[in-house]
Amino acid sequence: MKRSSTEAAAEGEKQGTQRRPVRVLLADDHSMFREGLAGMLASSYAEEVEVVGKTDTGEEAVALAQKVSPDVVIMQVDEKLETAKETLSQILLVDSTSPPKVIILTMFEEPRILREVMKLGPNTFVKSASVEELLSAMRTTVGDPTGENVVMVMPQGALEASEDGAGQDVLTKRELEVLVLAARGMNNRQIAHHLGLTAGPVKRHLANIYPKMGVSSRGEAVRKALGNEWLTVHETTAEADTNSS
Amino acid sequence: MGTRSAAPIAAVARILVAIEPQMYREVLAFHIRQQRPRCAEVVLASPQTLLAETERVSPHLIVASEGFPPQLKERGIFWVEVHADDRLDATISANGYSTTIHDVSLQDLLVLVDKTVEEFGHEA
Repeated sequence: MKRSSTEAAAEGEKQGTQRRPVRVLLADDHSMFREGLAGMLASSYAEEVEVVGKTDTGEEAVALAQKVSPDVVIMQVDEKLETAKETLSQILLVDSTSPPKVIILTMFEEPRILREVMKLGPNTFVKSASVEELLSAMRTTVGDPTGENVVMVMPQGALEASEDGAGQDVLTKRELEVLVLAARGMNNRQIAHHLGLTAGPVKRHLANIYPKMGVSSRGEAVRKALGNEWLTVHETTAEADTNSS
Repeated sequence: MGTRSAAPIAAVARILVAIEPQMYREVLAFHIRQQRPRCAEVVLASPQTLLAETERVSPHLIVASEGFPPQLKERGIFWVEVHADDRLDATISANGYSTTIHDVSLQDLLVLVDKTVEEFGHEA
């Protein structure tokens, strides 16, 4: 893990420049990750990154951004999308001449939500990545002088889905699989086991399904899907297909 | 050349970290390795490789995201099931007792690592 900071220093020497660390503000409401990432960056990437602030709330993130003028804000976006939108827009207004670059981390898989977040103007969007990939994305972001480029780090499938417009009101293949299994009476844990997922993504898939279908519960979603013949009775009563994962 | 230190060898517990997303498990593994270097051997797994890695490693402690296979909870080992919602909550099972911690911290998990070493380290 020392390799990156050493490489960065070596690159700076080669170019005859004395690079200062990138000043980073971490805004994430998961304490373990926030504190852990800050410690990891301080320990292994100190020549490259300086964590100048940490917070678990959007309000404090805005206040800290005004106070410490970070180069980069790394911000987690979760289910509280409206709050995240508000925070992000305020952070981008902190300094009208040179606002901080914003890197969004998310666990969302729903293309519609990914597009909504991207419209807010983050410089970088990271999903399902490693720490090294996050830092690589940060280097690219910081190295973009105009800030006109958007750096995307996400699985190809998610990127394609976010680009092709699928998902405005149409269920993705995975969401349909979750809906079919829910219609068979499986709970989240059983659905997760069947699809080789954890329960968290299943909950998020269901949370994405409801607004697309204009419903507010699993039972309502199943009834509407059956009533509109999006699902057949055969699908909802068939034995679990062990090959679908 | 294979020479060994004369210092006593600390008991080592095997810890399997399989939480999602990948960044979270990397960060947790980093801190366990850094802060308990002589006490814990840490292996990373994805939810997809959790079962296979459990068979290969025979861990004393598993830290995984919610929904991990129930049979792993019945192996007589310590485990942590992490729920990623607004906050990161964790259900911890150790020595037959279970508790849930709201917004689990690194320190909470390091305490559990220490308990795992106390309980299982002598077997390693």
